[in-house]
Order: sequence, then C-alpha cells, then structure tokens
Amino acid sequence: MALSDILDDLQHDLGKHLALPVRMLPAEADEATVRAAVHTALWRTRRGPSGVRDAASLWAEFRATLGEHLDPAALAPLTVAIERALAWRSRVEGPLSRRAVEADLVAVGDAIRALRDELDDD
Amino acid sequence: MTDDLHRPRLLLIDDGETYAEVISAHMPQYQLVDPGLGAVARLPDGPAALEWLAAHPDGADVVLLDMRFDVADDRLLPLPEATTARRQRRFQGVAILREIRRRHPDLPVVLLTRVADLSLGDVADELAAQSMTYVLDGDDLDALRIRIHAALDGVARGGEDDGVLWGSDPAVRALRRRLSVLARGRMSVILEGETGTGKSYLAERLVHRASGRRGPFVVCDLATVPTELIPAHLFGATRGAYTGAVADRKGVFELADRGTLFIDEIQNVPLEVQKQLLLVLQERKVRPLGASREVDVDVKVIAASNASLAEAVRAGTFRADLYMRLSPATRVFLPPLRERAADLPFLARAFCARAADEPDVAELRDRVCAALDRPAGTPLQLVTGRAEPADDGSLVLALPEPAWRRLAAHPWPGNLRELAMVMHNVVTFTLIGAVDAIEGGLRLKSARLQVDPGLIADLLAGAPVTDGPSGPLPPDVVPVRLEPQSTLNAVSVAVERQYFTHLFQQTDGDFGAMAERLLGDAERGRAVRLRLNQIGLKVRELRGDG
Repeated sequence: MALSDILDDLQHDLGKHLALPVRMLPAEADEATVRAAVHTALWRTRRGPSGVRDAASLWAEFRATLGEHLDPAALAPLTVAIERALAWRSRVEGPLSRRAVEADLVAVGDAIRALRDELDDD
Repeated sequence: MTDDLHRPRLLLIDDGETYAEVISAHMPQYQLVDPGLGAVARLPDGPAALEWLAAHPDGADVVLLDMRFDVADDRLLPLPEATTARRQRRFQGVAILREIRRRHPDLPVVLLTRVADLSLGDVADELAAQSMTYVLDGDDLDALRIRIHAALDGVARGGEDDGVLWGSDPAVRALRRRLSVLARGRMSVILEGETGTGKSYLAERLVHRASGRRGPFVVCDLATVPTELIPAHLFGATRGAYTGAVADRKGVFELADRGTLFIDEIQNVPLEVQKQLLLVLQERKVRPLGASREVDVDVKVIAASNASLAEAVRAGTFRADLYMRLSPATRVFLPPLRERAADLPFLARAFCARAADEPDVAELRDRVCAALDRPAGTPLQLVTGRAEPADDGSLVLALPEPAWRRLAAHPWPGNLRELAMVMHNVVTFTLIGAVDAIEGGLRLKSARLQVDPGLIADLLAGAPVTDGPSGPLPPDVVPVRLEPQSTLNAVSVAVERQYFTHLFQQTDGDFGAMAERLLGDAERGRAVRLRLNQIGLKVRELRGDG
C-alpha cells in the first residue's frame, strides 16, 4: 500500500477519532462528561461495521506498517504525539483538565498532517 | 425541550457511531431521525440511505453525510474519479452526495468533512457550485451547529449556499433552475438586469462553476474600456496594430479559452465591431487585430446588459443577427430589488450575517463575543421592531421599526449591491459602537445590540457632498467639503466619494491606475469600479456622459 494511503487511513482512524469525542463536547461539559468522552476516544476509537478497536491496538498496527516505509527518526514526532495521547489511559480517572487532554488528542492529527506535508515537500 | 413536532429532523448517513452519539447527547434542539436499523440512529451506507430517502422524500430537514465509509464492496456506490476500492471508500460521501443531488436537489446536506480534506480532483469546486451543500469549517461542536443552522436557515429562506440569495419570490427561485440548465454546454446566455442585481456574480457562481468547463472565468467589462479599444480588448492585437500597441496582447476570447467569458454591458460594443463579434461566435475563431492567422477558441459567452437588448435591436443600436446568435431563448432577466419587496427582510438579514463573517468585521464581532463570554464566530442575526430572535445563541442586531420602514421604502437604485453595502455599514458601525463601549469600561448587558436609527437615515440619504471650495488649491491637495454636524459614517463616505472623483479625473478613468494607487495592484481595477458603484458614483457621470 502507498505511504500516502496509509497516512490517510491513520488520519481517519486516529487523527479524527481520537479528537472527535472531546472536540464535539459543548463548552460547558462537566468533568464526568469529558472523562466519558476520553474513554470513548481511547478505548472505543473505531466503531463501525468491522467492530470496535481501541487506539493502542490501532497504533500498534499502523506503526508496524509505517515502519516498513519510514525510519524511526522520521516517525519520532508522530510517535511522541501518539504516546502522549495514549498516556491519558493511566491518568483519565484522576483530576482531568479538558484543555490538556484535548490538546494532546488533537496533536495527533496535527502530527500526521505535518508528516504528510513533509513527505509532500520531498 | 421543544417537542418533536418542532425540532428540525437530521438524517445521519455515517458508518461510525460518534456523530450519532454526539448529536443525541449534546444537540437537544434537533431530532435525529431513527431509520429503525439498530440501536444508533443512522444509515450506514449509500444504498441504505438512497432507499430510505426514496421511501421518505420529506422525512428529513437536513442530511448529515460522512465522507469515508468502510463498508463492503457491494455497499459502495460507484465513484469514477476513484481508481481503487480504498479511494472509493475514502470519498464515498461524494458518490452518495451526487445521487442525493440528482434525486433530491433541494435537500440540504452537511458534509462531515472539511474542504481541505477533499483531495479528489475538482470535487471541492464541484461542491462549491452546488446549491444546498454545506461543508464543515472546523471539527468541533460549534462548527457543526453553525453549519446545521446555516442549512436550516437556507431552507427557510429558499436556499443560499451557492452564495446566491434567492429569497422566496417564485420568479427569482425559478431562475436558479433555469440558470443551472443554461450552464450546460457551450450555448451563450443573455443576462439582463439593472446595475447591482448580481449579473456577474450569478454568471460566475451559477453558470461557470456548474458548466464543468475547465478554463477560466474571464470578465470583460465594456463600461470601463474606451470605445476605440474595444476591438483589441475583445479580439487581441499584434504589436503595432494601432497607435499605442507596443506589444502583442491577447483578447478576452483567447484568455477565456475552454472557460467562460462574461461580457458586461455588451450593448456598448460599437455597431461596426458587432459584425466581428458575430463572426467569432459563429466560427469559434478569433483574429487579433493586425494578425494574419486566426486562433481557435472554445468559449461559453455570457452577455450581460443593464438595458433590454431587444429594445436596442429595435432602436437600431444592436445588430439583430448578433442578438439572434446570442440566443434570445436563453435570456434571463434579474428583477430589480424594488420589485422584490417581500424578499427584503431575508436579504437584509443575509447580508448582515455575511458582513459579520468578513475578516475586519469578524474581528469586531469576536471582541463583542469575548465580552459576552460567547465563542468567537458566533453568528449574528438581524431582527426588526419587537420581533423575537431565534433562540440559538446568536448575537442580535436589533433594528428599530421606524428604521426598518425607512429601509423598506427606499427605492434601492443600486439594488443588491447597495443593500449589501448599507447592511455592511450597519453591522460595522453598530459593532464599533459596542466595542467602543466595552473599551470605555461599560459592561454589555445582553447580546442584543441596538442599531442607531440615525445611522440608517445617513446611509440611505447618501453622503453630504457639496461643491468644492472656490479659489485655486495646490495641485497635491484634494478638496473635500462636508456638511456641518455630519455623522462619522457620512463623513467617511463623503471623503471617499470625493477622493475617488479626484483620482478618476487624475487617471482619465483608468481603473487599473486607480487600483495601483489605492490597492497597490493594477489588476484590481474591477474592485475599484465596484466600490465606486457602492458609494453611488456613476462612471458615465464622472466621464461627463450623462
């Protein structure tokens, strides 16, 4: 599969679906609602005809495929962004700052876009 | 919560569940249509959606359509541009949208994607040309809410999303369908209507974009071209073909090759040039002045006039054979605003909403929003008299009843362009007043901003221009006269009019030179001319022709 297609899939499966549940909350959402949305983003990331997938397993699959096309240095910024987002799995039950968690989840899509732009420039 | 009878019905076409959950949980003002296919209220693919819509043609007020569908091959609608099944899935929303448009042309659809993500050939242009199709500007709840609001608003008003304000006048609404038909093929189109009725706007938005032609949209405004230069402007010229032709130049026919040529004020073409124009339209070949060879051109011509061409034929100033070649059967007449009184409230509201989204004005609006703890980008709605605004969190611009009556009684000689300018100024000056109040330490009590009735009076009365001062002035001084006790708006319009008049005389009416001076870009002469119209200056009067 072409690298651009893989990145498109990654943008859809992780870039979009990690951010969407929290981005789509109203401004006045309380902490419990934000927590539920983060749960959805991290553990019920892709839900559709083919079942439910969580973010960590999706990333493991993508990382293996991307590793066939890119060296670890090229992948590093994206890897860091996704690991920051996944780190919320162990912090989600504690005090939760919507701004902080949203920034980390949105950053994944930004990192994917940056990688795509970099490859387009090459 | 509003009862279901009054909640707008959203039909979701999406293979995933997130949007269904979001709308159910956080958008109680809408009713998500349950097609009865499972726990979550959505249709999972194109065939299911089309089947449901065929059985329930009036079952939804707005469709929300995802772009990517990870479904089995046999559930994909064909998409010719996509060469692989992967791309068929990635852009499946486009295929579904095309079928919806074919079968339900007036059903509003909000695409759950962003234009920037539509990297599929010319699809973004195709969508931009469609009526009743809306694309998200962001990925948050506000972006979705604003688009649904716009879609519902468009239906209530008769549709606007092609960028054209149609209103509810049946005759005007019928124009949309007619122009969509005329957009097809290479046939010429005649557009007639007074200045400011939107001829060039419709030509570009509705005819050119929908024509599928891949070449450019070229505007040829014959009101701004000296009569003796019209042949060279239309057909091009070689170096030395006439005095002043220092280099080869392409005419607008060549420039518009494979695209659309909008000839504004076509009645200005001199009789002796009309024969050449006829030949170009017939033969689809153009011979630049002084050239020995003809050039093939493939151009769709839209001929616009602010006077009746049929009358011009009867008066002997327009050739009958050219008129017939342009095809009178394609004539579309755009009515003046004074004959669309019923649409005035809708048009005024729409122009206000548009003005609020223009960058400079949006900055003012967002400062007011911030003072009211509203999100940036909050829509602005105009209400008149004691009318209650829609309870959707918008900023409200309240126009007193007497001011509204004054607007309604105005004859609008500049038509839509004049109304747009007036409403733009109403929004701008009201927001400036609010921002001044905020900066002065006042706390806004509500999101309802009152429009100053005196402002409407000033805007409709025009600028208080008087004769210039007597006696000679140094050549680098532009004389400006103002009425005592003028409002700020009246002063600014008066100064602008007088400066434009001065520049027009200095440049001998060369809009390119004026644009170079005013905007630093000689290519923007048309923008200068539009501004002249907006502030009520007429080119013919400036030239001393009438």
